Amino acid sequence: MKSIYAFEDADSKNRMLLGGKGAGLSEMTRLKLPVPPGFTITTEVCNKYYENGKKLPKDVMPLVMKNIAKMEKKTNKKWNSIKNPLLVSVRSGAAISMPGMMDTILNLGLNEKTVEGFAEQTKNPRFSWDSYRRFIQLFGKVVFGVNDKKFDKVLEAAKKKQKVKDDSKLNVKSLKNIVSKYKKICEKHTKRKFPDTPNEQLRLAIEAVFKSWMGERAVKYRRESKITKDIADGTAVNVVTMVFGNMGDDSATGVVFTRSGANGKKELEGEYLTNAQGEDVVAGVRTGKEIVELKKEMPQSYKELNNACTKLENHFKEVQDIEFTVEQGKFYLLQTRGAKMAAQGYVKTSVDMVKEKLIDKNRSLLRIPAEQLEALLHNTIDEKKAKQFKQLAKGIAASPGAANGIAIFDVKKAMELGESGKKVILIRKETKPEDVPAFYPSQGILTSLGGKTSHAAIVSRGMGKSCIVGCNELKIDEEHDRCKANGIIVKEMDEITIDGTTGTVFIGNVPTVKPKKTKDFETILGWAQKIKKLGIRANADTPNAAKLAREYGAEGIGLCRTERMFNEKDRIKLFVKMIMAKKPKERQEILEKLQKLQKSDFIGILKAMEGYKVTIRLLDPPLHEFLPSSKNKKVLARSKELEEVNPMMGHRGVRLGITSPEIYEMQIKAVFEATAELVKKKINAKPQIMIPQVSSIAELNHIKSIYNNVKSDMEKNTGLNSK
Amino acid sequence: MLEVVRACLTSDELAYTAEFFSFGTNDLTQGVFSFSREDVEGKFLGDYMDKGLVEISPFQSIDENGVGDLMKIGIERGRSVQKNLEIGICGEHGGDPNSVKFCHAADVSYVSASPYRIPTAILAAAQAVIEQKKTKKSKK
Repeated sequence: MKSIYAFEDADSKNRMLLGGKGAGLSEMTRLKLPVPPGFTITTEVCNKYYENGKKLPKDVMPLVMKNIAKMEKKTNKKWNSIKNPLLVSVRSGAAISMPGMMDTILNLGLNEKTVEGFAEQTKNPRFSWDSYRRFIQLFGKVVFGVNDKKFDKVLEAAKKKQKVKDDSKLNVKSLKNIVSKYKKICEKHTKRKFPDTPNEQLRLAIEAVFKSWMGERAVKYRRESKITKDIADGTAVNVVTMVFGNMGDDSATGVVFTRSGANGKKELEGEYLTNAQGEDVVAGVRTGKEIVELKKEMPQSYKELNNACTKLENHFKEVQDIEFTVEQGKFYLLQTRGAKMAAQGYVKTSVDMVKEKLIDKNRSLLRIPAEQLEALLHNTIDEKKAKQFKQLAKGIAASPGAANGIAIFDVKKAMELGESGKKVILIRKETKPEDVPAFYPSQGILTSLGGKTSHAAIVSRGMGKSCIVGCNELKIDEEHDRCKANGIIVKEMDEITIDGTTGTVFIGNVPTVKPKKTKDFETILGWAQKIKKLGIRANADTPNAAKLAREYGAEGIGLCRTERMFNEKDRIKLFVKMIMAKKPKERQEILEKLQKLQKSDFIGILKAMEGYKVTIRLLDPPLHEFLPSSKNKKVLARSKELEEVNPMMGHRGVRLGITSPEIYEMQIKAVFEATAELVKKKINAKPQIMIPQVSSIAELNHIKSIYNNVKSDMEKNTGLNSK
Repeated sequence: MLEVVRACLTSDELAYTAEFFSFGTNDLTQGVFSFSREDVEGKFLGDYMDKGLVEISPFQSIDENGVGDLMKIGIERGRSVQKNLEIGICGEHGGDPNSVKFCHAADVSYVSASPYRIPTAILAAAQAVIEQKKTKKSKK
């Protein structure tokens, strides 16, 4: 396998080897689109670099120099030339795009001598020295890890000295001075001379890009985005001839989507800046102009861009995300990749592209990231308005959707205020089952502890409430009803907003946007339903959840957790009473009350799922989970009695059903009664009873005999004869 | 419900009485790994991921080699007694596209997911069929 491919002779289908950027650049080169000459060092070399103890394999640099020679021929420029120097950018690019997570170096090839040649070439010494200054800053930061602030200080001082406000007004003399100071900063940091030969600069830059693959940002991003090794294994390095969007008012640089990434509309969407370098657009240093403006400002380039967009979309059969630069009127493409869109964008473009006969239905379904569909069903943050709000902290995005309201730290208060119509965000260190009643009237839940499958997370997801968990930055003081993060204190009744889709907590009332179930969404679901073989049921514990699930296409309920029903406000006290009851008679009386409540729950759920199976799981958790953390002596004593060393593996599920048969009996009866009542009304109810924690056939048969007894009793009483 | 390791291994016995199976993949994962969800995700899983020992939490996506294999044993033994036994999974995994795809391949009858994840599960189930066709074609 070759370790370096020039853009024109790459096997561009191999994204794993070339990375997305490399594959895109070579594919565009083959399509005869205007791409600056360059080459790609493969991801395999990246892996070898790490195997080699973070050193480039010996054969790499000679090959790099051979390819540089090829670029010299194509560009008519010379590497390390005093008269007409070739400058390059060194860019990362893994198989999957990881925007901003890895490093890039621009304007490489400049030193004290070539900078003069570059000035001659461009007939613009100011521009040449400014490029050199930018190069040292970026190189120092990326390769040596120098803090950006040190460079900024020098720049600010220079501006003050020359009495100008804008970077672009600095003259050659100031810039030369800055360059020499920048170098000293680097040299002080590394304790060696700043590398002056382009060869050494290039080697260091390539190594730095490889190094950034395992940088903290990149590793974290891959983890969060579930990018595993079979999806992207190492980064490639692209060495590309520099083109300049900052060579005057006839130059520009921009980013464009071939269709709207937000809503999928078929129109170019993007921004550009005249007289700027690519990083200025990405970093948002200056606010870009809408891409339609380019039509007026540079009609020829706009036409070329538009044609390229059409050509690329037809070629890749996918919406493209494109970077371009116009250098003194000449149009170049610097990147193309499949566009990352919002769920709505994916859905609309999938339907549209099938209509346009660009792709078939199978492909239209495959291109949508399935997990994103969920976002279409929840309120979202109004992104445009969110920018005006301060971020308080970031936690784990546990249950998607945005919610705003007043911060409440006390469960009781949350219930009271929520039920009185106030919008409440419940903030707790962690939640317990006894807190669940406060979930219903709250808009969202925020905890400082716990992971994606913690109690708060699972319960919120089941209810469709926004939830952020594990927000470690947030120091919660439940006793004094306040919390603090990043120096900001939030007190009870202060307005906050949580975005359960991203895990971001905002200060204030950030506006949210309601979801729309579009026709296109229905179309996609319809296509998918026809193709799929697997049955899809819902986990739903309430009639409302069951109705919602039907609306979204569920074909039954696969898990109805009966214990969730006991957590509702009117039940939990009764259930606790049952646990506390010492005398069997007292217990029996309470159980009868609970049975009536369960029966009405089951009726609601079975009705909502008419014609479909509903799997009802009998009580699963250990009893002590229901006991409140109370100071009451009796409750404490009972808690102590029920306490277990390892509750997860303890007295729960079928084990409880066997030692306290009256509970399962009550639940089975409730199922029977609910079914009998529905059947009488000619409603097709299809319950299934599920026994949790079974480990042996003996246990199962034991419960089966309880079931059989209940069944024959019921049949005698109701005259109903069914399963 | 099959969420205890022993139940999976003796599913041929259970199939004489049970009218359907449903894997509780969350508890099963805890049992197979002998670690509890809360402790793992809150304490050391992050470190494991940083060090490259684990790529994805087995509570997010079914661990196919371990938990998945055990499920396959449970399915095979159960259906050796009742050929058309209905077998589902319930729990958080039902809304995870990769787990849905695994279930499709393992001949599970249905998956169960929280209401808001139903469309995700439907789409993933369709993708599983399309992808399976594709790999079959390329093998030919």
